[in-house]
Amino acid sequence: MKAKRILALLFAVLMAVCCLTACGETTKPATTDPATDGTQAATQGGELAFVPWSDEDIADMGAAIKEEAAGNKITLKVWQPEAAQDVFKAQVAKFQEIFKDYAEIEIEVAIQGEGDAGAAVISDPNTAADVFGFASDQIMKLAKPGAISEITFKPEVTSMNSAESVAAATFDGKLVAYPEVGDNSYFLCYDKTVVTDEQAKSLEAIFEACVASNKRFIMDAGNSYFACTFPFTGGLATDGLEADGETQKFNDYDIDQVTAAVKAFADLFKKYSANFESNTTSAVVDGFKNGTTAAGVIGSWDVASAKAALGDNAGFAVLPTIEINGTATQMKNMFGYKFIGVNSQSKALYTANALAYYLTNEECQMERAQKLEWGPSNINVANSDYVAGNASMSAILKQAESSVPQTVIVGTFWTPMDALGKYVADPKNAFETAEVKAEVEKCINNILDL
Amino acid sequence: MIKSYKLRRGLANTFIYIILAVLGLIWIFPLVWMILHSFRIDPTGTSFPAANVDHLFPYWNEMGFDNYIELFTETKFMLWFKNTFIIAVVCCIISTLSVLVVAYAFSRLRFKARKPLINVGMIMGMFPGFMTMIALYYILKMMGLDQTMLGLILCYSAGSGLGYLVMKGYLDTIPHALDEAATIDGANQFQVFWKIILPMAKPMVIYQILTSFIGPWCDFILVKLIMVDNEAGYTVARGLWMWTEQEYKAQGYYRFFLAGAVVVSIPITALFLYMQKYYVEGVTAGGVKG
Amino acid sequence: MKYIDYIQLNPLQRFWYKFKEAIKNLPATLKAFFCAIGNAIKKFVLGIGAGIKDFAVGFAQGDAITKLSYLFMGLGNVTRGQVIKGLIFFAFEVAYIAFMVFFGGNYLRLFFILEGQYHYESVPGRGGAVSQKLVWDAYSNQILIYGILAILATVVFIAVYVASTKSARKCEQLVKAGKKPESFISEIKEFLDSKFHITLLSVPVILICVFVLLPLIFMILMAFTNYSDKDYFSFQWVGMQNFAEIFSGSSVGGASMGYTFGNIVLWTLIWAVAATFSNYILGMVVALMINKKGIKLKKLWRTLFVMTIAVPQFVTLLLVAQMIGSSQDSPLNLFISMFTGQPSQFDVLTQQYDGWIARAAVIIINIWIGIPYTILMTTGILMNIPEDLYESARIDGAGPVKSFTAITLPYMLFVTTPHLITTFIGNVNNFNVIYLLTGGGPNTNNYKYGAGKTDLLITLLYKLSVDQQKYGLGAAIGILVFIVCATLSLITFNMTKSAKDEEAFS
Repeated sequence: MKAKRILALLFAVLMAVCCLTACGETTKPATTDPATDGTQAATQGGELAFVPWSDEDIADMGAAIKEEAAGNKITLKVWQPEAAQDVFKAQVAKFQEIFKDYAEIEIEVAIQGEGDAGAAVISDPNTAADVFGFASDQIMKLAKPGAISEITFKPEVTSMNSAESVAAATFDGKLVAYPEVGDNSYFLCYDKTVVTDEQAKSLEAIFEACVASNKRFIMDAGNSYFACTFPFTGGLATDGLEADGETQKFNDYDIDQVTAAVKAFADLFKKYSANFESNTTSAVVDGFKNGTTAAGVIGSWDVASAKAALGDNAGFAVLPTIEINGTATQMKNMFGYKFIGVNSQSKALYTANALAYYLTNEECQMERAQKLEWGPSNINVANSDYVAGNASMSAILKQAESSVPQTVIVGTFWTPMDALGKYVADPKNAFETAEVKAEVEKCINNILDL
Repeated sequence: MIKSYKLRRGLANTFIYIILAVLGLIWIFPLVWMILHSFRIDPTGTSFPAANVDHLFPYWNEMGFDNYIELFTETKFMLWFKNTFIIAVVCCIISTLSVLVVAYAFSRLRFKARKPLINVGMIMGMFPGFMTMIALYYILKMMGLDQTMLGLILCYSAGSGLGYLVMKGYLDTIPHALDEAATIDGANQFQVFWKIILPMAKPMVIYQILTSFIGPWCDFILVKLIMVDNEAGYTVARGLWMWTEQEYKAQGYYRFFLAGAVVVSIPITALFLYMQKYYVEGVTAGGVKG
Repeated sequence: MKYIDYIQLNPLQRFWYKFKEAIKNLPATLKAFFCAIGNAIKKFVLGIGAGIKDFAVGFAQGDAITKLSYLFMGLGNVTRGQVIKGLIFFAFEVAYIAFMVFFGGNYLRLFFILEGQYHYESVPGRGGAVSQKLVWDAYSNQILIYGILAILATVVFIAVYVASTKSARKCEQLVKAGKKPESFISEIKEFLDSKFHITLLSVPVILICVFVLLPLIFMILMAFTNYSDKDYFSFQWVGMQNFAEIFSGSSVGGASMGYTFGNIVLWTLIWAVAATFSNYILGMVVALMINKKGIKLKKLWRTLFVMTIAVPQFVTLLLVAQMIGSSQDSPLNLFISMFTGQPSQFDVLTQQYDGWIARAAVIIINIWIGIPYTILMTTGILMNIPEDLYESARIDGAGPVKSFTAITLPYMLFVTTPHLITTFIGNVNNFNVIYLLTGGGPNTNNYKYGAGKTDLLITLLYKLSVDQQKYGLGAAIGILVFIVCATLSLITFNMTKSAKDEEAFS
């Protein structure tokens, strides 16, 4: 994993050098125009600051779109969450502008949360959006019945986005979605006036700071997405699917170690139960607002509101360490992505693919990073000055190093994790080792649907 | 002796007053909390208020009309309210008519298929509805009515004829001698229905109107399935429900949920209290006769 | 027990006696029910047999025009003076044929295979290449629903067809006998008089058939398919597999569906009993308190309680869930910490691993929801209890508790049995309270499919179908829920029928 990261970094540096020396003429189709970079694009406001594709590419794609339109108007629908509507409407308008000479394209942007976009698409693909944003855990749900199929611009997307995000968007050997966000995950956010940067490195120290200030540490422990941190810290990890194509595959984990990790969390939460609260990430932000919360685990989607609540005192860091059997162990989380999928039943499949490709290119990702705090999957944006200077984004990209990437997740994964999390978060349980082990085993067996 | 009896009764009454007051408080507390918090704003104006605060009721300086103003100007609430109102009115016309007609036929007319139809209707009303929602969607889609208000109205009111039981029970109690007398006077079946039975059944009809009017204000599941992403076609219940979802709650939509809930509750509560007499008559008739 | 013994029982004993009898009679009732169904089927089959005979005889004996109108519906009517009626028949035939040719026929054929239908199309690919796109012509669920529609349409058509042949034959006979067939106007007039029930019922029945019956058949058939998230667009008939899974007991270390189902059924019943009777009795007590002589402001008290009915239920439930939520800042915890001085994290609903606290909580909150209904419903009846009954009880030295259990409760149970049972069934299917308060949680890994400790059958159904898209399994459970409810209703029906024969309470 680390090697991949370094490779990616090297590649990015190479690109950057390319940019600086302005060595023009890229031979590869559809790489970004080297003359401008995203930061400038965004600062120049409304007008079309830079063209993401060379004129040749646009002409090529335009010809295909023209062919697909066959003289008619192309209508597309985009699904994105409520908070991102304005940004996407502007970006879609730019796409229309680029291809206005080739075909009349009408694009509607409608509201649909990323969490249940997958269910909405498969329940009726013909009414669903042509291009939709969704969270990476729905890859299997969408790709298995063929609601999304192999994307058109595979080589370009593969080279532009981080290897992990591309791997996560791959199902059954096919790249089936366009990586849109490279950090759909969670990490530590703390009030710098209460918790010092040093204390934020270990969970025990955070709790001590909470006790000292009579404030809370909040984590959504009863929610599967966060609860999988507990077994993951003990070395459990998902590893795609078994040969039958339906069952979740796990790595070669040590059940005792996993049990020890889960028990460590449970014991710690129990010990500090007066200062620990299992609640949603928006409760963490609310707590910052009221001044009742010292630190909490928040998602990348809460960053904007957390910054609004804490101002300059907002501290962002990777998840802390926790002491398991005397050794401080780094907490590992589930590292997810957000993708843009193209409905395989779209009336204008090529144009929809082109739109998805456009919406996930460097320019658009940079704009969203700046306006929505959505972390990029695009390598260039990830290595830009903007992201490096953004505390939350760099924290989360660092978190990626100690995490389990969310590749293929089966439908049965979440609810057993949910139950395990609720078990851990309830201080009334005794947490005997044997009992914890039984819970962990039951959880894993239920995921495997035994 | 008399004095002590009076005293005892006085004591008992005081005791009852205390209990009623406490219970009344418990019952009304969530509503008061909802109303007060719907006015809560962030006095500093920097960010939207949290779903909860560390004090039970908002302070004076935290109250304002901002939530309501924004609710009407910046959200789709007015549109949803209008949709729901239209749907509710049409539904209550269709539902009341079908219930009346079916109950009248079963209660007053004698025909061969009467008994089997009564039984089949009773049994059909007992299947749980969730599983049939997909089918409803595809039926509407076939008719080109998916994502439309008419489709939603049909879903709400088409099956209402099955709720004939209470109404039929009520009509059964109206003496047959009345319609016989009318028939002798030369009235046909329709006139008997319109001039004799309908006025007599007024309380039940009003009960029916009331319940079928309130129905669409409360459903939050079917709307999403029929409307998919057509937010302009949502009803208030679906919209308010949406605002309590994590994604919206995180953006401070909870205040709109509260304000919207108050706005929805006012007309319904007023209607309900005004029509309470008929409602009571309806539930009592239903409860006693089955 | 003889009638003379029966009338000597006190009302509570009468109630129990009736209840016991109803249970005792249940097998007989069920047997009678199924016998009735059997007889109905027998009658139906015989009827069809007679109909076919009629049909054939009509054809054999009819003249050329009548014979032709077996092919062209309404011909016999048109040629013999019933022009409009004949045209309506003919239009119906044309409409049916058009429907089957352009829409229904194909789905009817696919109905038996059920697999989704698709073809490939060429679309522009990257850099001028051509790529293949899989286009679905029909998804399995579409095939299922439209297939049912085609079958229903065919059934209706056959009925109309038979009616049309009969009508043609009748016209022929009338003309032969030298009479004139009935005019269209006079036939229409019949619909306002002797056939008034058809006029009244036709529209509601059509609506119910399309929007209730058709989806219902769809649901029932779904239970015999493997319609689930794994085979969403294309599924097959699988027979009884889903029912087998519900009762599958053993499993390799994970939770089993049989265990989950058993426990959820048990909790559903506990919940329904607890929720029904707690609301019923406590509501009555409050109603009595409000109605007690000497208590002033009766209207105010009643309004206080009734207010909660008027506010849409999902709003009040979401509010309550927020108020007793797990956060330290939730109103309940703030309230507790006002007394203790400590931050409280009392958490009753979702995060609590031990299910019984959440279970108790939903029952208590349901009391908050339900009492106002009981108050509304019982106030009038309570006033009807003869005052002298209480008077004589008081003279006998009975306190308020005694007179409640000895007079009020038996009287009310006696009078409002139907209400109790409909409430009971309503509680078995009480989706809102559970779903909005706990969402079925707290979840446990002892249960399968994410079921939780407060899940009722109906919320499990929702989880399986809407959340997890396991429609086949969900439909199977739905059918079982239906059977439970239908059985309960049978008991009700039995009891109320016997209640009808009773003299009023004395």
